Amino acid sequence: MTSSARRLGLRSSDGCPQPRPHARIRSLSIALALCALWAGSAPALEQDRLREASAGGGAVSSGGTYYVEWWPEPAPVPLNEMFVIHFRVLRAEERTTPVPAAVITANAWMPEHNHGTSLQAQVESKGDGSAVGSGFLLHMEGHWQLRVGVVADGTMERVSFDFELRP
Amino acid sequence: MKPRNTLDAAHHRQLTQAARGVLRPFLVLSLFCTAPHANDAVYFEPSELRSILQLSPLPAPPADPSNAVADDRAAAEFGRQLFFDRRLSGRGDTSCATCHDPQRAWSDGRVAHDLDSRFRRNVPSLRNSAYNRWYYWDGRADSAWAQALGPIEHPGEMAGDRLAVTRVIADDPDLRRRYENLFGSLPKNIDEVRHFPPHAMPMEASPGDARHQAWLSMREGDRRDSNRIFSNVGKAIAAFERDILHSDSAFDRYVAALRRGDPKADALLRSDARRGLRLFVGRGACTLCHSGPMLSDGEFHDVGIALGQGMRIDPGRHRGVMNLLASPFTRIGEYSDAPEEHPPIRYLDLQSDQLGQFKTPSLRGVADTAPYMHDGRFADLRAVVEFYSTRRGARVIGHPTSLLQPLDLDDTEIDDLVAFLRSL
Repeated sequence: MTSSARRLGLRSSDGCPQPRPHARIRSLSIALALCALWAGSAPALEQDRLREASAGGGAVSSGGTYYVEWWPEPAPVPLNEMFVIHFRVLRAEERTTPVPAAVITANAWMPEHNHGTSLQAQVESKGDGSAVGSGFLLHMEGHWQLRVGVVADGTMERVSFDFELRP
Repeated sequence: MKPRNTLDAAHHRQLTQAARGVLRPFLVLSLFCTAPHANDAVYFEPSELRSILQLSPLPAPPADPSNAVADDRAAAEFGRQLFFDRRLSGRGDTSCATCHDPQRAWSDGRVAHDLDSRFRRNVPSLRNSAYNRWYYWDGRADSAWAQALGPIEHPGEMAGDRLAVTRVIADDPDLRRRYENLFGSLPKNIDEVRHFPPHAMPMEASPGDARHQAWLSMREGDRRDSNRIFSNVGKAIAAFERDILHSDSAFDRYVAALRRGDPKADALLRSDARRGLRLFVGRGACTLCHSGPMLSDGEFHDVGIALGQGMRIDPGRHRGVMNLLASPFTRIGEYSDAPEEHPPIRYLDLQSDQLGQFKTPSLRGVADTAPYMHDGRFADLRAVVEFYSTRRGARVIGHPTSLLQPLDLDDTEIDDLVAFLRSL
C-alpha cells in the first residue's frame, strides 16, 4: 500500500483483489463528478416535472377527505390563450367514488409575482362531482398555482397544483 | 392568435449541431464561457431559442366574429374613405388619419390628452391592431370597430357625434350607396329631424349639453338605429385597419432563417441586435410581458409609471374596465354581429389591482413610433431601456411585485437591446 493510499484511508484486505490507488482516486473523482451532475440536473428535473404538470393532475385535499383531479382543454395549459379546466372530486380513501355535493371554486395565481389572472374564471359545478371552469387565461410564463376549493357537507378543503408555464 | 411552437426541426438542428451529443450541463457551461462581445458569434441556450421561435412569424390576424364585414374588401374600401374623411369630425378639420398618419407609422409622434384632459396619452400606432384583445392603453374597447368609434365623439379628438356621422352618410350619395350595399337600407325616416336630429349623442358626464338633450329626446328605436349605423361605421373602418400590418422585419427574416437551419442566418441580423435579442429572452426577462408574435401579452401591468403630471395617479386599466363594462359597443353587446359565448369581456371584473395598469404595447415596428410609454414620457428607445435597467423614477402603486428589478445593464448592453428593438 502506498503512502498516498494510506492518506486517503484506503485499506488492504486479504483474499480480495485490491484496486490500485490511482484507480480508487479515479473512481472517487467520477463519483464526485456524477454527484455534481446530479445536483446540477435536479432543478432541471424539477422544472421538467412542473412543466409536465401543466397537463393536469390530481392530489388529496388539505383535510384528506377528497381527491381532486383537473385537466385543461386544450392540454397542456396554453400561454396567453383562453382555456377550460375540467375538475372531478372523488372520495380520497378509494379515489373512485364521486362527491356529487361538491361545489368547486378555482383560481390561478403567480406566487413569485404576487398576482393572479386578469380575467375572473367561472367554475360551474355539475352536481355529479365534476365541474367545468371557463375563462382561464394565463398571460405570463413562469410558475403558476391552480388553487382549488371544495365545499361539501358544510366543510371546505383546499388543494393547490403547481406547474410551470413556458412557451 | 399565436402559434404554440414546440421544438421544431430548425431548433433540433441547431441544438444537435451545437451539442453533438455533449451533456446539456456542459453545453450551458460552454455558452456561459462565450464572451458576448468577443466576436460576432452569439449563441443561444435551448430555453432562449425556444423563446425566440415564439416571437416570429406573425400569423394571419385572428377572426373577428363580432364584425361581419371584417374581411370584406368593399367594407375595407368604404372604411378607407371614412378613415380619411374630415367631415366625421365636429369642426370638419380632423380625420382618423390626423393622428394615425400613414406617413408616421399610423401614429403622429405626439402626445395627446385623454380622460377629460387630465392625463396624457401617447397615440398608439394602428399597425397590427387586428391582433389586439383589448384596445387603447387602458383597454376600454374590446374590438377594433368599437375602438374606431371612440375618437369620433371624443371632445379632445374629432369632437363629432354619432347623429352627425349618420347625416354625413345619408347626405353623400356615394357614401350612402356604399353603406347600403354593405349593411342594408338606412331607416326610411332618416331625413326626419324629429327622429334623427342633426347632432345627438349620449353624454352622461355633461347632462346639460344640447347633444345629450337631443339624444334623450329621441325614441328608443331611433337611438338603437343610430347606434347600429354608428357601429357599422366602426366596422367598416376596422375592416380597413385590418390590413395595416407590420410583419416582415429584419428580426422576422432572421428567425425564418433559423427555422430553416440556414447557416447564413447571422448575416440577416446585426451582431449587436443578436446580443440584444439574447438579453431580451434571457437576463432581461422582457418576454415575461413582451411575449408571442406580437411581442406583447396584450394584457395590463403597473410598471411604475402611473403617476403623471401633478403627481396625479392615472387610473389606467381600472377606468378602462369601468368604461368597457358600461359600453353598448362590445363583443357581447347587441351591436356585435355574432355575440360569442366566451369572449374575454365575459370574465372581466373591476379589480383594485387594475389601478395604474397599462397595456403592454407591441414592439413590432417600435423604432418608428416614438415617443414611448402610455404618456409618451420617453423620447427614444434608449431612455426606455435605461428605465428598465435602473428603474429610476418607478413607483408601483398596484400590487407589490418582485418582478421588475433593475437589470443593471452596462452601456454596451443598453446599445445592444436598442439595436434589437430597432430590428423589429
